[in-house]
Amino acid sequence: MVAITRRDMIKAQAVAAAAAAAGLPIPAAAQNLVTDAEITDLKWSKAACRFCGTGCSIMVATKAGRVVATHGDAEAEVNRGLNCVKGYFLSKIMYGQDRLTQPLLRKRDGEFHKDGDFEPVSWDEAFDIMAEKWKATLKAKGPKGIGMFGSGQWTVWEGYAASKLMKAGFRSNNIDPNARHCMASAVGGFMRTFGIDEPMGCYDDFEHADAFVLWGSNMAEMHPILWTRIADRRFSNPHVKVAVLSTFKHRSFDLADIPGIFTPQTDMVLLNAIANYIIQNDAVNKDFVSKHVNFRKGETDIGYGLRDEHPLQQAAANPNSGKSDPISFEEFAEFVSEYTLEKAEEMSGVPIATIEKIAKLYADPNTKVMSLWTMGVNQHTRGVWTNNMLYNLHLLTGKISTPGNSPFSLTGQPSACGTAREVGTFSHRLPADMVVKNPEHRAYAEKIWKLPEGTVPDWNGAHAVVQNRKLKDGDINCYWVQVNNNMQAAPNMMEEGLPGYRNPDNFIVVSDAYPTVTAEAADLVLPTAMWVEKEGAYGNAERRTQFWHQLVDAPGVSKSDMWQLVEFSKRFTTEEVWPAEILDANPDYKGKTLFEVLYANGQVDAFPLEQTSKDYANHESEDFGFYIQKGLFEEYAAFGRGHAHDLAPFDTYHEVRGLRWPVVDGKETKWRFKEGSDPYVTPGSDFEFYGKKDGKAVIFALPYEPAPESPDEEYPFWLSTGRVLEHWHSGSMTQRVPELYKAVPDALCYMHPDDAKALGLRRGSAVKVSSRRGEIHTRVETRGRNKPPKGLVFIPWFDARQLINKVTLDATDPLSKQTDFKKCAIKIEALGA
Amino acid sequence: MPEDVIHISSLLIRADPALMHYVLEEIAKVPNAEVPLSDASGKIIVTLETPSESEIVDSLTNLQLLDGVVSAALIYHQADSETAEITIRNSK
Repeated sequence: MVAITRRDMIKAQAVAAAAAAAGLPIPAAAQNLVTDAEITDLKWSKAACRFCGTGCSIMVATKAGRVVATHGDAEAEVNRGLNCVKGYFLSKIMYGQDRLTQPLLRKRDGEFHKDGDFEPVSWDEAFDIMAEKWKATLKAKGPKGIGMFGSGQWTVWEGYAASKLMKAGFRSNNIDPNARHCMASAVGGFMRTFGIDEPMGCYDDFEHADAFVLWGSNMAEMHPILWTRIADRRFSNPHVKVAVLSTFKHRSFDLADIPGIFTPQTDMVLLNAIANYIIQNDAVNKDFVSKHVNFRKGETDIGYGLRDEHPLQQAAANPNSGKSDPISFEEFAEFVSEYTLEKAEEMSGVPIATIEKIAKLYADPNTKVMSLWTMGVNQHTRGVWTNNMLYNLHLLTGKISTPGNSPFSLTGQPSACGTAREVGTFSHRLPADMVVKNPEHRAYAEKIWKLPEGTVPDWNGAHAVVQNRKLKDGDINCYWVQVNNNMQAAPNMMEEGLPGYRNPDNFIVVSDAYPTVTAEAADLVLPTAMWVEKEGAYGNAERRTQFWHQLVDAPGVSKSDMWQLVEFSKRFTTEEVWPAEILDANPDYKGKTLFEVLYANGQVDAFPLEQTSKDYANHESEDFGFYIQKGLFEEYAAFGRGHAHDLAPFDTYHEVRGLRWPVVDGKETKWRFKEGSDPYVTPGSDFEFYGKKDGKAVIFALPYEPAPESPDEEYPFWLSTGRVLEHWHSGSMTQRVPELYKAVPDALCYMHPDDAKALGLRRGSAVKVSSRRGEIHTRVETRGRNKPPKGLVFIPWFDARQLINKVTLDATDPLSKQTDFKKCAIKIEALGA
Repeated sequence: MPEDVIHISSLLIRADPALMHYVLEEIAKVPNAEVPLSDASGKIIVTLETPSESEIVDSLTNLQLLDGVVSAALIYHQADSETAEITIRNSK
């Protein structure tokens, strides 16, 4: 026996955990100390981090009903015990001082009034006014008059419950997730090139690749845990090369063997130049290309997703066209031949020598290459094209679907993949990559949902940016926002977002845990249980589905998004929302509530309460009287099983640290489309891109096209927006953690010192940043971690007091409808001069 | 909140092996930081004993911005308010 202090023991545990995470031998002093629950009195449980799309598993300690500590989960393959600064403070995001605990309705003289002040109301009163507004709008305008905006932060079953309520219950496809701002171009790229969504590879590629090429991504700050894996690979293997391409210098350049700063929008030029280099240097994998690839040429001059009357839309020859025609390899080679290294240098500003070094990584048959990208490529008015062009490089060389050969589209939200994409909460999608426009897909959904033929509407709903336009125009009058801060996140806030929410004809409901900018613009605010205050499931960027239990109770009368959706469905009968012809043809559905036809349908309510865990609470299941999360999940999983989206049985996920779909015969799939690692590939085919009918992926011939707005004499700077390490997206959670707020309290305008000098500005100077649409006041930073080249400034968007989206342009990719937050023209003027 | 809370945390730093020496020197200048373990490939474990959590974040941010540091991750954190000496079994 040896006497040591309690703190010595905690410290030894801290060292032991770090050593385990680092793969270092545990020092003797720490070796024999065991985590003894009796001493620490903590209950440890696993949960998936609720921040970025990496999908780290976190161990969460609760004590007396509160989360008191977290550490990276050493058993998790994703993060192996590590945790970034945001994840580390997960335990505090639930305990912000201004946490909402009760529904709030704008009232004057005891009644709802659009210009009234927020007053606390009961759930009953909240749902009463909501149902009244929804029913009035449905009667007056039909299903197109209502809308919903959700999130890649919805749990899998929340997104599923929402999509089902909107598309099957209210028969409206006007539902879109904030993943539209984040991943829509990635989805478009996958569907166009492969016919099936999400990466073929997985994080295991990090330990196999010989080269990493970052296209616009700042992984050091945005995906720090994955960046650590790249750093490990790079430092442990001297031959490994890291190339970092961006429009400004940032933290990821610290690890770059091959750095490159390119002019905004010219990533497209670089990609075509590298394709041309591969062809000119005889580095095409001819065997692979001849067996597994088709070539097509896309229609060009497709506009910028602006309102139809906008001059740039009117000038476009083929606005919004995603059409393409088959071409030969030779025609493709001819098409890219104009993109010489010389031309690429001239347009992008990246020296020929640098472009050639990167091109060689792709061209060398013995170098396994992982390409990585996120918002730089996706938030791009040619985002789908740029995704296609990235796949071109990997398909030309056959560097795909094998360990280390991996075009990898990173995600920004914890369940952008698991919920927004796989569940299909987009305005045009259904679960498992199906779409509302396809009659067979609708029929399949109606069959699984046990609903009458014709219930699911056949029209594409309004997407994110169009929803705001329709609110402003008064076409959508009832609108429900859950788990996101879209007033702050959406572009062109002053001309589109705010006028839409405050339009007197509209009733806006926002479900959130905190009084965000969006909640403040609403008419009714619903207090929401977050993260481990409910049982949940997320799906990360590598197709990994992860579950957690409810670990603590939500404050006040807060309820989860799923509870709110399902409870609201009880307020409607089929007669109130479905047309007479459907009910006359299917009289069994008459006189039922939407709750009965959608959720108490013999499937969602198939699992009794006894199947919930004995060790954890489950407030929703207790309220509804059945294991609703399991019922929703199992019904949803029926869409994908046998269709290359197979999920494991529900209970399995509570035991494991996630599994990567398709999970077939209990086994996860690491590399899709490759024989031997993907059970869906036909034996003997070697590779099979089975998302396409003929099993072949598509290489697209697509040109460079300019950005909708570029700097000019009046507005001489490019503006790029983005995030910083300490704050996640709009900061509605991280800004409430005092330590994170203190670390980076205010957004800054990062700019080149020469540009600042030329304007008579210094570090710390107060400035007005303005575009043709709006302005903000901020301060100049010339020395920070972000170092823009001359002519470009970077401003993060987390700061609710400096809303940079007053300045941005609501131009979108015409195919994916995703906004380009990375490019518009601004001017900078000194304040108080 | 009790006055005498102490926050014990551990960090894993990934440094460029070529700059290890410099990074270790810089870490030594951070108050309340110790390096119980490091290896030549650039992995450095740092423990922090701080009176507040904000100092953990400050230290983390400062460490992360050092030349030669590629990443810094938090591994473990526990707040402790008890100072009692305890006896635990220390055997194989």
